[in-house]
Amino acid sequence: MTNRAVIVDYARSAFAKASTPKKPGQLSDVDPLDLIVPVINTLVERSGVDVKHVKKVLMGSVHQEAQQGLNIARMAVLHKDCKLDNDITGGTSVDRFCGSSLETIAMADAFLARNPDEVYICAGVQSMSAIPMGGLNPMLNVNVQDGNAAGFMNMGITAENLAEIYGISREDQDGFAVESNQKTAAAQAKGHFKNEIVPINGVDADDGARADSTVEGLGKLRTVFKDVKEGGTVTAANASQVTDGASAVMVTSEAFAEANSLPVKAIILGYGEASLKPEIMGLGPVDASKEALSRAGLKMSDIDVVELNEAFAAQSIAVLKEFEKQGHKIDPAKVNLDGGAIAMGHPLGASGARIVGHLAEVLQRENKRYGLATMCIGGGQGVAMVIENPAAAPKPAV
Amino acid sequence: MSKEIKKVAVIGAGAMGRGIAAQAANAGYEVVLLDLNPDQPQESIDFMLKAKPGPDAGFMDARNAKRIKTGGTLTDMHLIEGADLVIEAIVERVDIKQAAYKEAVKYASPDAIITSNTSTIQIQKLMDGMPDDIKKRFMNTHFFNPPRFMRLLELIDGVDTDPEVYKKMEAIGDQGFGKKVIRCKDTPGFIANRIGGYAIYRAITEGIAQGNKIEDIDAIMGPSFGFTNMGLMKLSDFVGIDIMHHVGLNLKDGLAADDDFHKIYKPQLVEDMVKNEYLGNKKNGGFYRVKKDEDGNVIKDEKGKPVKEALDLQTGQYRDAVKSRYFKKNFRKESKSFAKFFKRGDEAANYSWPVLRDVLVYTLNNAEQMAYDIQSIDEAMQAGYNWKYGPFEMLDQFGVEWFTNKLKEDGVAVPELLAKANNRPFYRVDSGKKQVLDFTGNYVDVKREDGVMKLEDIKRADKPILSNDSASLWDIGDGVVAVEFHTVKGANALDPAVFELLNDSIKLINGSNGKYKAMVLYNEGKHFSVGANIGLVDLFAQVSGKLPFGLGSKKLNNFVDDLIYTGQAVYKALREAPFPVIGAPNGMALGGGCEILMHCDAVQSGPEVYTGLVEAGVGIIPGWGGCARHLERSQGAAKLAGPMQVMANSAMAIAQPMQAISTSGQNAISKLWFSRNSQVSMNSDRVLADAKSRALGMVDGYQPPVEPTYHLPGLSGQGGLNMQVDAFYLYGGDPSKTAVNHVDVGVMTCLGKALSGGDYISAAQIRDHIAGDTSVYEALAASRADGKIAVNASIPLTEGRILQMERDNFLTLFNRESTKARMHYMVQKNKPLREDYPENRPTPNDIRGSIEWVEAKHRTPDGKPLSGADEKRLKEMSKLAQRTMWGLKKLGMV
Repeated sequence: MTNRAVIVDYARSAFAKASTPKKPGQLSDVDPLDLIVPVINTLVERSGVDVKHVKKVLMGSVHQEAQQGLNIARMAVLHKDCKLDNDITGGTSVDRFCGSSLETIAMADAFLARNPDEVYICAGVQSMSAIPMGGLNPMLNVNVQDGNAAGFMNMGITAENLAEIYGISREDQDGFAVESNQKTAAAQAKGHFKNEIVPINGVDADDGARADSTVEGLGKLRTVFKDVKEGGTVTAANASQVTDGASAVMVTSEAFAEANSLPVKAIILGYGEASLKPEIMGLGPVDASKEALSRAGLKMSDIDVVELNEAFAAQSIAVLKEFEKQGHKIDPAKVNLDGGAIAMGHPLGASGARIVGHLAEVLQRENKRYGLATMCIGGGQGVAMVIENPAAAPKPAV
Repeated sequence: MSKEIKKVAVIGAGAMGRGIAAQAANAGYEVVLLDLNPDQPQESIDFMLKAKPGPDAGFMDARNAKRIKTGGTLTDMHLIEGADLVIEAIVERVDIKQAAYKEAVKYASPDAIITSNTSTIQIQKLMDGMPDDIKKRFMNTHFFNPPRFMRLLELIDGVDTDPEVYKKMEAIGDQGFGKKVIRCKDTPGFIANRIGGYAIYRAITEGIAQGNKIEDIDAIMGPSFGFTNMGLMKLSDFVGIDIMHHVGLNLKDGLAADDDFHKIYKPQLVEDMVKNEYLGNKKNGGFYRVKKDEDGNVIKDEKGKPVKEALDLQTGQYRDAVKSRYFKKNFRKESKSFAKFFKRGDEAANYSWPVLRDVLVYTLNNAEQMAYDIQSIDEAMQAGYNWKYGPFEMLDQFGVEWFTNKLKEDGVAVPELLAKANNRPFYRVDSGKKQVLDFTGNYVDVKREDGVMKLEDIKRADKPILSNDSASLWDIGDGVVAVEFHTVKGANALDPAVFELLNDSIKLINGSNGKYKAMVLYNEGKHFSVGANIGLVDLFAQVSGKLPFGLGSKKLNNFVDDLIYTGQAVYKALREAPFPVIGAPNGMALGGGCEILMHCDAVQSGPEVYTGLVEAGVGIIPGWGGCARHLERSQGAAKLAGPMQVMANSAMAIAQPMQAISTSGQNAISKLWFSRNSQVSMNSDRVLADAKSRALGMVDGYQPPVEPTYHLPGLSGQGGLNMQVDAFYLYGGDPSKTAVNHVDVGVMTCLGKALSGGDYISAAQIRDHIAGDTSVYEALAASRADGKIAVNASIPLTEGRILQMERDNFLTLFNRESTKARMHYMVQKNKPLREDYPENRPTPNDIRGSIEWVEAKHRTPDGKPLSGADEKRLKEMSKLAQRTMWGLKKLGMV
């Protein structure tokens, strides 16, 4: 037995479309802390872990201001409904844009390597209704290099850039989006998310997936970031949705799990990261995944299931194309079995814990061994994590 | 405002009904809008809310729509409960209308006024067999389409109408709905449609007879005679061919058999158009249409503009439109007088004479039949058909004697009324009073509605207290003075001479020992002010570059620096003067014209006011305190939290003038252009009087505003703004349209500097630029190697700081060739220059790196009128401006 970090449980709120001027979102009036605390409580109750072992809540949240400010991770512990002990559990808030809550799992992994007796809640929350993209007061040091600043601003443009570089047509993107919607709708119908969703205000299902969307229908939508006449292809439908949501996984050491009879859903094998030009930030998963795989001692061909965060259809397709170009082809059938952010939504801070947690669920459900979760990050970064389902590992010879 | 009543019900949600309901909501009434189709009212409200600024945009501000409740006439009549006024605008059938009145009075308040908007049915018919209780409170309220924008409201009282009811309705129409109310006799077409309808059909008949092209007819029957720029035919397309047809039919059916209208009424062409669904601009086109190929695709010329076709009056077929040789001609100016013009014998004279002659003769012959006086007829045509001159004013311009003789020459019988005029003009000025002939041939004073005050009346009777070529100060009674700008007619541009007059006025009031106690800023005419006289600055800029002994660029910079500073100082002195100042605009108030209104204690706005800071269009930023005032209001706006939101809000308003410009007076208050305590007079004729009473109401216990303290984000705020500007620049698309181009990046960079409070505060600036106890900041600056501290939101900045930033960045921009090019283009072409991208598109950093930063002189206005050397300099500049403008006028250049 080693000090390897393991995921023992995963839960989240439903992902609900954020408010628009015309329509309020289903969870738009729920304060971000009220979104995440029930999720944390579910993990605590379901695992039966003695809260005296829970060392820290690590919480990803982007734009840590207003309701998401004041070190929201510690605020979650201080929340009157929170089952954790104020005098024991600390809180650290993490902002790495879209990669925030995936990063928290890597942090727990590192902490556990030295202190295997601890339990970490690795969480993420984002109310995109309350705090808009860019934050309430978007300010910037003028010494940030020219061009980088603009790269920060326009996630949609970075997707247009990739569409242009990789020659990804509007139809391909819309096709990808339709597929994502169909997969999510099918997974919902089969109840694949039932176990992970904690009902809040009676909302117990994601509301983003449109099972009836068609390539033809999506083709009628207006492009958002670039005029069609100038080659624009990215629309609201082939980009991830603006969403409110919260998610969390409980991470312990393999030894602690065994000692406390906690079910090991997945073992964390490797974490990787990448930095690249902001204008093509969508390719972040490529180098990040290669690093994670190499640290896990695996090859892409070993991977059974991939969770690739669908920031944009163009971006996701570009990542798959680039992998193939570099000789690491991924079978599309292995990618996002239950759909992704295009159908489910992308509450920035909460997406990382969702894709890792859900990947663990899928591996168990499909009885597959190795999984890769990866996502791109605005500003030119990428993160990736490789996990293993121990139940699917060959039994050691007795 | 005397609104008299609280609740208005409108029955019928067609084009007229919905527009009347919207205008009632604009006026602040509680409104009910009903229709036979219960969904129609809400749909029509949504339609008006969605409409782009223009005729269909019935609401002055979107929130007014919330005042309207909707429903169906069969199910929801009870909503009328307690209504004080019921206006019916349903199908033109007596039985249906009568049923509606009977049903409405069941619910409406017992003394509610009941009216019809009919334009075809006489009151007697409508009231036939109706109970006396309804008869005495029934009358006709004839609005024009679109009701928000058309000034005219014809009121017709029947024989049984209670005079008190009429008076009440007159006040509601005037002060509530804001209309020019004209009392008409109960005759077909009333006044405006009778004369207007005659004119258009007469124009067509003559065009057919003489074989004129409609482009020529429009060019001839245009501004020369006071008709709209569009000309008569194009105007018909705008109004709607179906409406025109309706007006004609109504006159044909209603007028007596011997009426002269029948002689010129040849409706075939119009009937065919309506039959073929050519309804004007709203459907398929009318006299003009867009050329399409067989598949219905619009055919475009090489510039990408749709090719237009015009109707041939002879054949009734469409052909390619041509440009008239009479386009933009001023016949009176060309020929020195109309008498000479009509002798020219060319097409313009040969066509216009018989048409105008017959329109005027028809008006003269029927005046007494349709109107209570001559003035009403002229005012009805101005307010209802947008004629600049009424028929009788036109007669005076032609010369009554000349016209009478010409009729005799033509063998046309001289109308009785013309004979009564006996070669005298219909209007005259007698001992400072304007008078008009009555139907018996005697002069009587021109009447004004109770409480309406006209500067033109004051000017006729009195001399200004102060005056120069650009502005005057008038005594408008009760201790209130009015400042009027008259730099360039119609534009009322602002220049140093205006500032000089304002400065002198403040001093005069301060030294008047209480004789004068309040000021109103008011310009009669279409527009308040189009802003700074950039023509003057452009002229200096052009000269300084080309003549070795001209102003020289250094001198020009000093001139501009002083021009901006004196403007700031005078506006600030106006704001902080010890007496109330009320702005009273109508029409456009742009750039510097908006800035001066932003410095008033309150604005008493006209209904249709289009205001905003549009400086960016010519490559500069607001420099006369506009940035300071807008930031102050953004700081005060409750929903804007944090330093960046305040700055970003002001940046959005100034950087996107086309989106930020107000669409009405009410909208100007919503958009922060006018202070929150500002008010709107629904009737533009009442703005001056309302402003005066507003000013007087503020006199007792008046305390001038103190200057605000500003908390702004400094450099990082600029970074935040630049980030967004760069995104628009790099990815926004076509620069000739809305996207930010390379020149805009420079303008926005400077705007960001001004709105963020700038970069650093030097040791020398601390005392003037930081509010309160500055010693701690002085100590901090002293501890720094460069002696400067960076601006951030924690530092309380003075208004002097913002004004300095305005001047620094204005001057920096003014020095750029791109700015001079934009100004020159605007002066020459009267539209903003949109540069194409250069071949090698510079990066945002290249653009920012290429800006040569200029610092204006360090100085801080103190809120007092200028004195000493500053005042001397102002007078020097004023003289220079007046001399130059005088020269330009001599040369016919303005």
